[in-house]
Amino acid sequence: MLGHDFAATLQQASDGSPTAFAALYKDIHPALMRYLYVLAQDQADDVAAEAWLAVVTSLTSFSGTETSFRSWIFTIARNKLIDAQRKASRRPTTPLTDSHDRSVRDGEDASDQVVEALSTEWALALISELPQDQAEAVMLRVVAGLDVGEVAAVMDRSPGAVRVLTHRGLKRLATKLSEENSDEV
Amino acid sequence: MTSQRPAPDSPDEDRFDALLEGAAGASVDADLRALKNLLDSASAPSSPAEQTAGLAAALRAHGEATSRRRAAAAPAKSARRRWGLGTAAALVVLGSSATAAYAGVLPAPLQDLAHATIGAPAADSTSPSTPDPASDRVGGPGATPGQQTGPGATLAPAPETTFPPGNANGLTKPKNTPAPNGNANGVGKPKPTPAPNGNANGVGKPKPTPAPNGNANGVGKPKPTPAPNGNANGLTKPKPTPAPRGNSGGNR
Repeated sequence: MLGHDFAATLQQASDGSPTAFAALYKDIHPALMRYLYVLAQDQADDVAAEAWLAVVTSLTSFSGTETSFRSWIFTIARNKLIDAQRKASRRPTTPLTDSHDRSVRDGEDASDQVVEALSTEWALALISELPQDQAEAVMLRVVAGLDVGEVAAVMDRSPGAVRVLTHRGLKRLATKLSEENSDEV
Repeated sequence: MTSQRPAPDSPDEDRFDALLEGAAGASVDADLRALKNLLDSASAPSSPAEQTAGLAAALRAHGEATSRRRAAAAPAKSARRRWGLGTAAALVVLGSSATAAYAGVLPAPLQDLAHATIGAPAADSTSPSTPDPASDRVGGPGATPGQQTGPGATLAPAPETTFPPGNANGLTKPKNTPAPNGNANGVGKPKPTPAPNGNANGVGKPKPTPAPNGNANGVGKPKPTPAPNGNANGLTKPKPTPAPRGNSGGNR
């Protein structure tokens, strides 16, 4: 999160500053990619690219807080994802590569990063096994950092429905984890 | 016997809410610890490679969108500039026209229009372009009877060279020659010749030119315009014009 710098950064990005836009991108893109990876592994990169294209086109029209900016971008990405899934249902394709990023962070022990990346990938893979609406609610709450009302706006559901979806998803994950632990024992 | 049935999942919901809000901390139950680890892994800090994946393409798109916005804004700015220049030019033209109208130098129809619309002087009292049938002129259209020619010509009558029936002025200093029916001053040194009905002074060897009540003198190409009480002036040969009461004279 950019915090207090957000308003100035957004203004500069709207005025055409590539540095400011890169700051916004780096802040949001990882969470956006994880969200899209959980919902549509094969199309995550393409959908993210289309979402950012839409964002840069209408960046000057946005005004609001940092949280509403994140909510706005995730809404755009979600709409792009729905469009992509609709197209894919008409024209099925086979993915060629696994595009999920496994690169390591600077300044950290590579083995720790690999373990963490693997654990992140494992966690995302587990969440992606949930029904899509539950997985989406969990990802928007946990990874995107949106509250119930914002998730409800993104998913076009009521806050109560979002709360129920989230709880069901978490309960299912807990059950799955306990089953894995019992299997290991 | 009353058995109070707890709401289904309500204890879990509270715990899940606490987990999502990050308030669980160390007090998280053992059965939810694995779930907490999973959520922490899902929301782990991103690597630089994650942050910059696709950034180049996004920056390119951002630059293109910015260029398009600026290009779209440029025509509007240019149109505003053109509109401003057009307005300024129109104001200059209107101001100049109004000034000319009040100075009375517009052509008669325009002067009349200005008189009717903005109260400028009427064309009758100001227009110099209306020829005076009782006089001849040498010079441009701005020349006035009995006055000097040129753009600086004024409307006031000349005090020394006014001849009631007709007059002709040369380029040199005219001499005031009283004549009952007119006078003509030529170039050079004309000799005043009193004549009952007029006088004719010329340069060189002018031929007698009968003019009705007037003379034939002048500089340049004379216009053979018969005038009741006027003259035909010129340095070249004037054409003879019969005149019932005219008189022709020359310096021989």
